[in-house]
Amino acid sequence: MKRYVDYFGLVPLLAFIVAFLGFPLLAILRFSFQDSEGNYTLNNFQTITSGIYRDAFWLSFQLSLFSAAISLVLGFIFALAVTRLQIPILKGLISTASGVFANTGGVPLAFMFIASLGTYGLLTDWLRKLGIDLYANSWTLYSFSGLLIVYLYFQVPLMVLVSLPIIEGIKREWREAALTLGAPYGLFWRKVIAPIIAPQLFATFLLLFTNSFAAYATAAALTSGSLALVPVQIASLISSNVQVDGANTAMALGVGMISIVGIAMTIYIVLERRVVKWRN
Amino acid sequence: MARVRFSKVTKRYGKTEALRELSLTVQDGEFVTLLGPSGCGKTTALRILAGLINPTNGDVFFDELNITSESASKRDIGMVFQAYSLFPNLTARENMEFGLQARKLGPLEIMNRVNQLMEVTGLSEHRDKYPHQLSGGQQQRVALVRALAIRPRVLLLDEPLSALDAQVRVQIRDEVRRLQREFGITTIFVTHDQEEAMAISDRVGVMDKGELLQIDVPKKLYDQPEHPFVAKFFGKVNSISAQPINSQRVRFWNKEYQTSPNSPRHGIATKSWALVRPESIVEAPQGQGVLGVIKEISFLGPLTQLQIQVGKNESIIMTSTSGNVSGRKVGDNIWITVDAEELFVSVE
Amino acid sequence: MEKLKSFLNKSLLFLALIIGVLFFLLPIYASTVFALQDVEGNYSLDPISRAFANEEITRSLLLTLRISVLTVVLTLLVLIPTVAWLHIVVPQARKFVEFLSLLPLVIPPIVQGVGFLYSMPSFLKSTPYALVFAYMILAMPFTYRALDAAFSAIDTKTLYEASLTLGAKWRTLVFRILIPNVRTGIFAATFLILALVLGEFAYASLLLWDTFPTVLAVAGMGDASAAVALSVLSLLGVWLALNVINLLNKSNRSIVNVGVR
Repeated sequence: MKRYVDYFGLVPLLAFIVAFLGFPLLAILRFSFQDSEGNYTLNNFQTITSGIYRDAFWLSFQLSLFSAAISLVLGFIFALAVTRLQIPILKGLISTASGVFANTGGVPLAFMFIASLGTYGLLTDWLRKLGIDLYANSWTLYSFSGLLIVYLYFQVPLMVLVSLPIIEGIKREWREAALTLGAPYGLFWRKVIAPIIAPQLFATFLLLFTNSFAAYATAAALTSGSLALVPVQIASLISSNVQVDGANTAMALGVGMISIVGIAMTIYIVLERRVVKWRN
Repeated sequence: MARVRFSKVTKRYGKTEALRELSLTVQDGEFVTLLGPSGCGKTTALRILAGLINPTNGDVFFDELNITSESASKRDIGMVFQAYSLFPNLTARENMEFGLQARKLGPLEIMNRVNQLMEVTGLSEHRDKYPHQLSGGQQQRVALVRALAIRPRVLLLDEPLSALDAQVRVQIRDEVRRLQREFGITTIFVTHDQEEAMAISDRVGVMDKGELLQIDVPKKLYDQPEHPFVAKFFGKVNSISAQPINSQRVRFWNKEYQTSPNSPRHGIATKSWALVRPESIVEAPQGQGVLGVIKEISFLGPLTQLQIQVGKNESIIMTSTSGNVSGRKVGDNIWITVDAEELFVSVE
Repeated sequence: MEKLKSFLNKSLLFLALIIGVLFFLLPIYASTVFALQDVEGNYSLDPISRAFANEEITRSLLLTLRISVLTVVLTLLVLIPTVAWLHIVVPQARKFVEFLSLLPLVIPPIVQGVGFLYSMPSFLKSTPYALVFAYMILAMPFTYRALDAAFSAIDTKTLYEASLTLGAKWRTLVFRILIPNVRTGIFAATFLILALVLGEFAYASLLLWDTFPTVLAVAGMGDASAAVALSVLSLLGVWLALNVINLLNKSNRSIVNVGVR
């Protein structure tokens, strides 16, 4: 009897999660298998795996892959510099700044980049004076590579935030023990550091990937929908209401996104169980 | 194995001197402990010897070889750290093999050496466990074996017992000493625990504020301290306010005492303190010495410790064989005096 | 040789640091100049006063602030007792609840927004304050972790038992013992919610509410200078607020690094 009572304290939170996460999720699942009349169908999934929607997934996938890979490298090096140089206050200021960029980014970032690298942006102007015309070869900030640059501004900070504890988790004693044991730096990296941080970096890569995959605000504010990423497509299907079964297609796109993120997470969990035997 | 010599080694961080002109020789096969409170420079000295930090001035020698600028990885040193030094992703065995692999020894040689050490330390059954599956004591044993496996010239122990439970601590302490004797390896041990230092070392060096104050066999440090800090840090001591008579004699508790020759010369100092061990305080015949009131009695088995208030605010600790004081109660008056020919006297 | 190597190492790290800092500062600098410089190249604070004179913007800013405060309050009200309960009464359920708390990470905000739109009763869709519920869920992966870490760091159960043996009342236990001890977690959760709500766009734009980010996005189409100025100001504002919280926190543990792993 007492056992049930023990779980009563969890009721408010669980109720909350069911109401505001469970119900919406169920609605999406249900509508994605229906047409606008409410008949069950698989048509929506046929729609999203072909034509512009398949292209949207491919575009989102590429953007996420590149932004995750680049920010993984840049963010880690930056975090390494911040922790190793041990300049007082700097770490605090940079981690707070990263927190802001990574969480608040979105719309403000888009405008800051229009001001910097847009057609009349200040950096564009400087580069033009240096003889580099960014816009000469039909490049624009509102293209794939432009968006990629802007994405780095919330991806790299997120990487910094996640890297700091990873780097601080590398104990000084390990390096010193390896040193006194006569190990060259290469051996220490190969046998100790790499096996320890590789799974963490892989997990971080997946996190960066999903973060970029799910991002909507920046793309919406920057390209006004001209770059057809999946979230952009979902939003326009919901708000425009011109297409037959538009909302249902949007739901199916949503299910598609959840599946991709879910697959990434599953890969991570399975791999971690296999690789990381040494952690409890 | 090697003789280790520090020659006027100084380490400064900005304006603070972590270590001041340390000169010290540790003989081949000797076990020397550096003892002191945190921040006294003992760890700095050890890390300079290991090559993990560079001294600001001075040199370090192995036998006649100056190794001051040799990299840590080439010094052939075995070091055991306070904690967390095992590589968490390697099993106990892989940890122990690490230094041997770095030396590119053959697999058979590696196996033999590690097996032999695992045998004598009782680690064989834990060989395939990861560090997080081992107890604190087992982890430190693995760290010790890992350090010994490379047959280092010197073994450095940086408070390796401080994170362990009292019981395990004594066990591993004895084991360290046994292995050290067996291999005859020159060992420097750093600790803040004076009991540990006394139990394990050939010689103990007491350090404070970056300086080595005195280094000697434990008994001599206890009986003939050359510095008030040494007297206070090494065992319990009463400091009793004493009146200087001349540079060789002081007076307190209605009696004069000879000042020991290693005391700081006090000359015309107006105030001085006699440092007296609790076991040198004895009961005096009625009317002799000084009158005190027993404030507390702690029975410690063969010995009993009394806390006695003398005068208004002098609190004296006295230890005595339990039989001698068995009838005493808290609140009783007691006449006490000091039973010693010479006393270590410090000045204000 | 060793010294040279370590010097080179340091210089490379320093270079990386400078490039990194420039990476952050360059767009902020460019935007500031862009926003405050007029066609003739003179600087003026006009765009800022224009932005704040715009009633739509100030109204949306106030709305967003109110929503953030409500989200913070609601999150703490629900999560602190739940996490405390988890630590004291049913520690065996911690893994499961942690898993639940991470679910919102798997579902992109835009998808959550669509689900909200199509599953909530209309009274929840007729007020912007319903966003509070949505934002609480969005922030939960981070807020839950922050509070759980804080409670893990203090051995909640022992504190609880100690205060019971000392005859403390529940109120004393909660306000004098638990809350002060998990302050870092509370600060961290507060910051995370502030940063998240001030930037949240997906939900607000789908549900057509005029929060700060959605109004800002529209304003950008009209008055670019004002929009850029507001963008910089909002990021700087959140950053300053965050540094203040960080200082108030006084603990060694960072409030930002709740980490996602």
